[in-house]
Amino acid sequence: MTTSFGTGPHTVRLALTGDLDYDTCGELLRRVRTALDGRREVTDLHLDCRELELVDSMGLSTLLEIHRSAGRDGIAFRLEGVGPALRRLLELTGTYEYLTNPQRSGTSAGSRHGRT
Amino acid sequence: MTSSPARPRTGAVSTVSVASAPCPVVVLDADGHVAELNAVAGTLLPTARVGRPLPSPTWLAAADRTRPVPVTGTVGDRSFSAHPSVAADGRTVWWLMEETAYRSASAELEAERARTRFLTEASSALLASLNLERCMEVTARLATEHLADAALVIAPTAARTLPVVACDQRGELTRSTVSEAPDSVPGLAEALRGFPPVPSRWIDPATAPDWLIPAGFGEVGSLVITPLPGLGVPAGALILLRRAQQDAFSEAEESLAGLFAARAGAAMSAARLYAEQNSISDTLMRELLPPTLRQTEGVEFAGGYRASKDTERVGGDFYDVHPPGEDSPETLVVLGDVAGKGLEAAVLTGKIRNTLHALLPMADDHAKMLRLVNNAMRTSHHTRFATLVVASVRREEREVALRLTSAGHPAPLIIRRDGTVEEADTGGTLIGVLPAITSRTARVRLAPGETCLLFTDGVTEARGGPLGDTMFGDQRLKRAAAECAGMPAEAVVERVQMVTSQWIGDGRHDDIAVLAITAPRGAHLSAVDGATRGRYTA
Repeated sequence: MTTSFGTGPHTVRLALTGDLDYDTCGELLRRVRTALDGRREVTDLHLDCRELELVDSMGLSTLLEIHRSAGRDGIAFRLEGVGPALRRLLELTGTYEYLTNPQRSGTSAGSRHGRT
Repeated sequence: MTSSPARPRTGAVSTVSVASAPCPVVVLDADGHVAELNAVAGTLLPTARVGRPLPSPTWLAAADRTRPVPVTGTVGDRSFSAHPSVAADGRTVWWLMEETAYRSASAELEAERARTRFLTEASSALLASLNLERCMEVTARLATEHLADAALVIAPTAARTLPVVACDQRGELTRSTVSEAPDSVPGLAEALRGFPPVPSRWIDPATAPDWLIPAGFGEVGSLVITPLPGLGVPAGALILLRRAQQDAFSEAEESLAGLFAARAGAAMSAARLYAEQNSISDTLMRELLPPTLRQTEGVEFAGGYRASKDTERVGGDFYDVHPPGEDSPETLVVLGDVAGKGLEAAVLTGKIRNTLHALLPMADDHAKMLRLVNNAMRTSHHTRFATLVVASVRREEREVALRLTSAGHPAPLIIRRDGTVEEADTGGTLIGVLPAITSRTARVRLAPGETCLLFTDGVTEARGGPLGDTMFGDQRLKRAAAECAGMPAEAVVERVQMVTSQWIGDGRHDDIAVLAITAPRGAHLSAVDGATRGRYTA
């Protein structure tokens, strides 16, 4: 799995390539944390899944983890370019809406406390 | 000397050179009498007198004088090599070079090499086994072979008895349990406690209890207790015994014993940790193993589970069949899959199974039951989730009525008598992460001989086939299911397992769980062509 960045002042965009599975999910989590670390002005986190291949249950667990911690920090999280296989997995598990709608979960966007 | 070969007597040059030589020089005549010796030689060999035979050292006195070659030997506690020069009149001039330092250095080097060899041998012997008893035996045997006349290895214990492995003076191993408190031997309790680390301790052999001394050992000359330091936990104690006629332990031997003890301790504590870990996963395995299924309340149930072979033995797939109880008139079947592998997945699996069991009285409303499970499973620590299918099963006359609800799990397949395969119309959110979940329950009726097949994605995502990397997929599963039309539950499970096993071949696979719920056909009373219903006994 590889990631690449495209970042504006308020939006961090990571493009994911390859498999997101048991072996690679820890790496993605680290990269997202690094990308957000200390950047209080970030309001949006987008993961581009166009080049993403296989996603297993640990991969999905990781996407949920990123979504949850983004929500905790008041960052809107969104998956982009969800292909048919990933879409199928997300629909099967009832997480498609949750992960692809750019809605802010957890704390409101205005509250930026507790961000690490 | 070479400058005056023709002179009949010792010339001035040679006299001067012998006398002023910086090393001891002894000149012996053809009969072995001392012809001359310099002052250094006089000091070294105080008994040597000119004109008399050389009384000592014998290795020099007896050296060949006709064709002399260098000889070596000791004088007192010093080592010398004597190098001959042939002089006139059959005399031999012996130049003595001191080699004490060199010899002790090479002896030390040899000893060091032997110690290294021993420690290397010890390490490989100790690490060859992760069995604690075997480690204790190897430790006792190596200690007896290299360090002492007999050795005992004592494992730390919570009980008031001491597990002991002894290797006696004949190299024979005995294993026993001594009903003694560790404090019956001075220093043993401290050594077994492991912290704070205590140095090796000398024990007065007279105070040693009888059980420490192997039968027929004789009088104990010296006895030392060395702790076996473990990896953060005490690994035990090593007791070394030497007989009275043997030298006591030297400082070097004691430090060697310490180095050996460190290796033995590490190996023993690794073996102990391994044994503990094994017993933990065995306990978990016992709890998590899928139950044996049979016909319940007139409905056939059959389950099959094939764990992933990848390192972890406890998998994330599970199934349960809860027969009807006081508060729940239906049989509740659960089949699910927890994200991840290994111990963490196993713990989550145990939790979700227990929660579902406790919520059996809620099974009349699947959506509510799943909401409660979701709330119970949600934690801030992680986003591990489970997907599962719950099925409430009730026999109604000859048919079986099912309520099926999927929580983010592949929908069960309904295998009709005529070979059509339908996906149950159910879906929902996975369990354990999202704050709110939804689910849609499907109601399905099974006629006799029809089956509802629950499975985990280990089946559909199994990679194999001719190229070894193709997913088994939904379509192949549906085709395999269609071939199971009319089969009993047991046969459906076996058939699906066989087809997936053939697909996977020797390849890697995830956990695979399948469960069949079948309406029994009953005994067939009249010949039918398969399309008509015929008559059945109940």
